[in-house]
Amino acid sequence: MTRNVVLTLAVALIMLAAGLGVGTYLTGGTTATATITETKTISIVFTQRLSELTTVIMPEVRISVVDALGREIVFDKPPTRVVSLAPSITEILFTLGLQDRVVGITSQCNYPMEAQQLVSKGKIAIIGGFWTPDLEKIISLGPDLVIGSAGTPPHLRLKESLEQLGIKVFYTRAASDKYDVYSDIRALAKIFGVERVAEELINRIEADIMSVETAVPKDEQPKVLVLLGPPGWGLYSAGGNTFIGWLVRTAGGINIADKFTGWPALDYEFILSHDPDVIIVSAMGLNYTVLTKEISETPLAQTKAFRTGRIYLVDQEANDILVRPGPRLGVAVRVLASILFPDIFGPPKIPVVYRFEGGTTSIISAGTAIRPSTAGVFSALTPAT
Amino acid sequence: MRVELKSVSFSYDSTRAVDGVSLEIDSGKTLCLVGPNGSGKTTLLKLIASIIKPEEGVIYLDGKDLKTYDRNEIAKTLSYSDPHLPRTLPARVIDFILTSRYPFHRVFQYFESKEDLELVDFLSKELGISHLLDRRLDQLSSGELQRVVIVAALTKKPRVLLLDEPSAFLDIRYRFEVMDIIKKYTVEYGATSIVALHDIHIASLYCDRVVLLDKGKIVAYGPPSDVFSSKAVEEVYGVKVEIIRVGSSYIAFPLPSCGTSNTPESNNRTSHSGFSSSSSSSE
Amino acid sequence: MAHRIARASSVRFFFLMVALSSLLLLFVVVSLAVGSSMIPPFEALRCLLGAGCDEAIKLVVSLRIARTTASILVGCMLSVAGVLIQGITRNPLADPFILGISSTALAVLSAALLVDVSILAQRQLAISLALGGALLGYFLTTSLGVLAGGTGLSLVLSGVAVSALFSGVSHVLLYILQDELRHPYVNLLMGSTSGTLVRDIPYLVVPAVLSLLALYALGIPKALNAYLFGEHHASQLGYRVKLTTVASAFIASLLTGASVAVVGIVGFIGLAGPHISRMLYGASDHRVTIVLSALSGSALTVLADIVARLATLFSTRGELPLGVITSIIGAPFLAYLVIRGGRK
Repeated sequence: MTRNVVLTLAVALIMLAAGLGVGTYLTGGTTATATITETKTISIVFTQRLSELTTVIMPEVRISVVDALGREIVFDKPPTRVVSLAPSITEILFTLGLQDRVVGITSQCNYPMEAQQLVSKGKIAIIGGFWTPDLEKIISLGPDLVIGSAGTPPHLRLKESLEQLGIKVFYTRAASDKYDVYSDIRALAKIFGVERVAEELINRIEADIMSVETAVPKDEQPKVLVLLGPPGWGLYSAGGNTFIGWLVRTAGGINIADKFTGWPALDYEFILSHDPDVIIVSAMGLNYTVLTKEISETPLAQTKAFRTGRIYLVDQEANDILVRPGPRLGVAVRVLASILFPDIFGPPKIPVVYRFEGGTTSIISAGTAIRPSTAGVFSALTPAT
Repeated sequence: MRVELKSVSFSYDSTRAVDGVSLEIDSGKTLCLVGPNGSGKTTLLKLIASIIKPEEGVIYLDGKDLKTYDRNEIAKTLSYSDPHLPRTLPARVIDFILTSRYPFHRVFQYFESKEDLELVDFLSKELGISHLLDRRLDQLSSGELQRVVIVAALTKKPRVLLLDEPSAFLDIRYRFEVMDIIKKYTVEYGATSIVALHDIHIASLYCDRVVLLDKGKIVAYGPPSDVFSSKAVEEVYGVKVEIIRVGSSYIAFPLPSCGTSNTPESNNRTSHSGFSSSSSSSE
Repeated sequence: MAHRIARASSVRFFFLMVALSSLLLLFVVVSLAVGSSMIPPFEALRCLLGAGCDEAIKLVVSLRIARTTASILVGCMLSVAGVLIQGITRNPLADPFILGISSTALAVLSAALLVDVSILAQRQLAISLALGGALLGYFLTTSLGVLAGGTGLSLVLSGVAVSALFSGVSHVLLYILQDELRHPYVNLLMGSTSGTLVRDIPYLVVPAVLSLLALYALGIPKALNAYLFGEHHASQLGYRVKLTTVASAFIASLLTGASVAVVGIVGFIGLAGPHISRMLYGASDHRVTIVLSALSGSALTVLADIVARLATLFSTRGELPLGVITSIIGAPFLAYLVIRGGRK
């Protein structure tokens, strides 16, 4: 009897050591990224190791997930060479601590900083732009999983070609609210067996959102117009079923384009008849003085938002978080809330947000812009440094 | 109006379409250009109409060099009828005919004058097309169209009338009718008519002078009786013919070459326009 | 007989002018009244005529005036351009865009945007660049066309060549640009009046007036009447064929280029306007068809703009671009044209 106990313990110890060794090798022994605080690091690593152990002991477990297109995708083991086709996907992967498995990202994947650092070190390759993924570059990396977005036609077009070569493709949703994002995070976590990390992340995000939702005044809901670009490009806004639409709602605002779906083209009459209190324009790297000058020369100057000096231009990182349904979801809600209710939430903590009031445009966001502007052809053609 | 050509030549790229042609014709007279396809008849007409400019030689209208006339003067003096009339856009007969009056409008005159309309009425009656005036050009038969083209030409009251195959698609009756009208106009108004033809018979009946052309050169020139000798026609058209004189007109009788199934008798009374192409020099 | 016909034609012309103008006026009034907020037409008219109206209504009406005026001008300009192009090619299926100018306009604008994306926010500059690009396309097409013989046909073929080349170029440029802007570039391609400002209107009016003056100073309508029956026929009537085709093409390019620069590509109007006017009048007299096309084209475009706006009320996708509406109406109309043409 004692012999059996000793034998079992010995085997258990050896397996633990083996598991530790294997786990260390697979994860490189690094800790999770910045968004998860120091105190939690050890437990997360342990949780990872634990789930690794479980995987090792039962090698026959097949992982099955359903992607945004409703297809069931089955993995015998977690992929080790992953290509991400969208910045939001890259953010999720890195936040889940899966950066070692990433071999390809887009030129616009600028968060976290580590992503671009790994590119300059040669550990990750650029496979093209978000809207322009290069099939050949992707294939040359020999990936076993490519993750794209179901709402982006160029990604969908790659499906046949990649699957023909035996490369698995997983599509995340064109998120219209936080639940879509959570589904994606969970599904990706499941593939790699890091469900615990995912749950921690989601709890964190929920906490952030909750803290905003409780602080937001219920009786005062400013009307918001979101413009996806300068007026000259067309008055494109975000419909109620889009991610941005959800963000505005959650941050306590009313999206005047809420009744539309997708990315509707509005006209001045519509905007003026709704008379928004706040106008948020995605600056897309445009020169902000030129942009504000243009705005002041259009009928937008007749809106309440203009008269009360509440025109905001979001650029760079602030712009990124508003359009990427990913782990920085909570941060996005908070930034929007800071724009809508500066008295309650203080200035936005993510650069760059400009405010145009009284004829001048000034930066109101805290923090310095750490990345150069990503606009213009030259940045499109060269990898970001 | 007297028309005179002195050693006129013109080439399309490297091909000499008209080679050293000299001729003259007086007012009230009709000159016929006869020759196979590609002999330069159309090119010659275009040269006289000033649509293209001669590379060598000079063209005189009433003793004055054609080059010295200005566009509008030329437009009022002569008329050239293009045998190919585009009919892709719907257009009415009357609109077509009235374009001939444009050169006569005053500088900023925009619409037709009463006199223009009266003239059109008169000529339409003469040629029996009054009932066709508001029809569309693409609704006309070839015969009707040809008469419309003549009316359009005459509406200019031209001193020089240049016609390219005016009776090509017409049956016998209309063919003579049209030539009658042309002759009548030429004589009564003292105009000069230059007509390009295939049909030797018609040419011999209506023309005061005939120019027989081959590859841009004049082979024979003079009254029909001089020009229409069997040898000349044979050489130019490359077909053996027998010229038969009927009254004051000539008929060219193509003789069958070895191997054709028709006998001379069965070649009677058939259309004379165009000779059998078995060994002709045409393109 | 000729007198009778001429008189009947004049009466018909006059009557059609009045009828089409009235229709246009009706559409204009409706256009001012209709939108996300419906304004009683009477009120709209009062505002328009400056007879005093509510501040709120005044604002809305002033916005609609910009759109409506743009629609009228664009419809008029594209239709007249269509008449000119159909005249020089003698082809009833030709439209103003065959000269390749929209592709060069797009190429120049995209190239400029790649150099400095901020140009997007400088509307006047963007419009000028697009117009410049259109005229560049005209010069390229015409030079090629003149080298190829100077007839309507050679112009069309050159237009096809220029169009093909620059379409490819602009698509490549916009493909690269698209990544930065994160928005599909369909926007530049499909014309829209939703963003038209009153300040844009001069960019339409000036080319329109210049074209009008040139058209009548050069006697183009009568020249095209003559050219309709062949280049030799026109020559012997004293017209310079090359001048007529080149000048007509230039005027057509100016008109079309200005439209594209301000509003974008609006198809079908350049084809339908001339066709409708020919159908109504019964013949191809350019003196008449230019005027009637201008009127019918404007009426059509204003109507399409109204429909585009009404789409906001009935669908969740927001306003449909003008170019889309005209294409939707255009396709069956074109099919009808082709079938009718084939049956003859």
